[in-house]
Amino acid sequence: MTTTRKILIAEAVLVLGIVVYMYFSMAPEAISPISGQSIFEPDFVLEIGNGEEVLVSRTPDFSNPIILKEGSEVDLPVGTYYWKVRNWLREGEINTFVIESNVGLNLREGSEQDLLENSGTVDVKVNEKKSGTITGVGVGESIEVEKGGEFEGKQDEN
Amino acid sequence: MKTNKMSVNDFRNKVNSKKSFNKPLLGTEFNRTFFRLTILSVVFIILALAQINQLSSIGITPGRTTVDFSPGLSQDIQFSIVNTEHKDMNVVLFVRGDFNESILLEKAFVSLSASENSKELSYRFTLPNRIDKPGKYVSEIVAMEVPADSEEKGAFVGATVAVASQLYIYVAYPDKYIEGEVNIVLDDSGKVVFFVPIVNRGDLDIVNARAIIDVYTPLNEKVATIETAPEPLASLQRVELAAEWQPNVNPGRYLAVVTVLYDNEALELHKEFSIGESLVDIEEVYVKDFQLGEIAKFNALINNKWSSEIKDAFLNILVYNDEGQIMADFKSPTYDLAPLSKSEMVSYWDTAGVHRGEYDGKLILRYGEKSTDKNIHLKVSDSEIEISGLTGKVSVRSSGGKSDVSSLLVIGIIVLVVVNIIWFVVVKKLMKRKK
Repeated sequence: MTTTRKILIAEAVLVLGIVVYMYFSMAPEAISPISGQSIFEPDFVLEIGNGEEVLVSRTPDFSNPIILKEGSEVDLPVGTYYWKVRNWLREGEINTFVIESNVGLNLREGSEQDLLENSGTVDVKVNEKKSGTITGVGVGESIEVEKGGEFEGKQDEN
Repeated sequence: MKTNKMSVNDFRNKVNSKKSFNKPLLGTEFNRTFFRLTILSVVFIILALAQINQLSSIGITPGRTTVDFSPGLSQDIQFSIVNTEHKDMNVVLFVRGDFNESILLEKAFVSLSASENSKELSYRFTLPNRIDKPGKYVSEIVAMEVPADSEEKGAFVGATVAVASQLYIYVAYPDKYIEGEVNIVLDDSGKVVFFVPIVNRGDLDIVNARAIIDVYTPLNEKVATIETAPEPLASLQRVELAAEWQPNVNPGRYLAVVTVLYDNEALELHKEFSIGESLVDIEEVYVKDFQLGEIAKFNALINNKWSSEIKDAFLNILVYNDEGQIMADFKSPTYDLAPLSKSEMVSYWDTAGVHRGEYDGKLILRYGEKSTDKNIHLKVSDSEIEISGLTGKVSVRSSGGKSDVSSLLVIGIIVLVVVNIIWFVVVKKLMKRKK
């Protein structure tokens, strides 16, 4: 009986140790972007460890959260975001990142027409100076344009 | 090797001095002429490449800075030129707009090296002591990429790209006045989150501001009404109203009509958005049975999630060279995509002259006035083209972690529990029976 009790106590200690180890080792990690990082590119990755879901919110109290899973893709407008990782056991620390407004244009030369890409983080209005044509180009979008044109982009109003 | 040092003019003279190319060319004479023509072609190609303008790309951040008018306010504003393509670049800066004479740029010309992601600059603006007319005053700091030798030459011709960082100066309205915008984000659960940032541009505080969001189908049927919580808004302050909606509607385009109600006044805003995944998606692109130098057949699997047929859709594939120029631009024939089904589109790329290596590119699926893009990366080898897609959005990636160890531990605990149960229930019963 004493041996059984000893075995049971040893098992209980082992299980408790495993649970404690798991609680700390399974802490969800927000790896990248580091807290407070400014982001200028339209594509970026929220890199996580030990997590199942990412919660992103505009407020530190996580009201109206956007819930993302591994492999998710989402369009986020410019601004400051609070984010944390969670798994079945617990939630990680709250981190922040800032998507800065970046007006970016890439002009790629083609054989018949050129390709103008919005490489920034905001929708832009592009003014072709010679013709005076104004075209809206969304984030990550591209338009075909006449060769040799002069283009100027500025942040769209909304 | 005398011929290697030969100038272009030397070559021209020598080629022109040949009286006739119709003569049969045999033996060493043939080899010499062939060699000369080859060298001549190479020189012409090099000259032609030199004439091609470099990729033009530039970014500026922030895109906009907003300042509330204060008499005589003088302030430094930081901004950065972003070297999007990580290349050597020269940038000319200038100012225009309502307060262009009151804005002093730190520099009017900057150079960035390929290793610089961005270059931080600043400008100082000084406001007058009084502006009578309320409203928005716009100035712009324009950054234009110019060719490398433009500083010496002074002028240049050709395609140019410029970007502007705007400075908005707001002079408060003599009452309550709201400006706002609508941002809509869809998450994994299908939930739609409406963000309505509003700013009180008036002199008076607003006691209560809230937004009512009506969602309409393209046929103008209202499918939902959502309301945000009310918020007070002091003069010149900003607040973000937010509301969630769990939609139970078909995938498609919808219109959000947002009415911001503030102390018996209203502001109406509109924003279109899509519910569900994109209506037409490029799911997979692959090349089979490829040999470098021959024609590559690109098969693309297109999923039409729309409940109606899409006519005259075609795939346009662009491949960029190391300098970001389009080195290949090929299109598929047009296809009619059956509703709620997957179709295969085929396009061909003649890889004659293409070298082994890695190339960036873009897949553009065009249908009607719309298009959907996907950045791609091509790894071209002698017998294979490997295509990998890049995201165009914020995405989530897991970096492993310790889940394997944890899984083993969980399994260990379960085994331990099972062993205990067997020990207590089965073995003890057996022992009792023996006794």
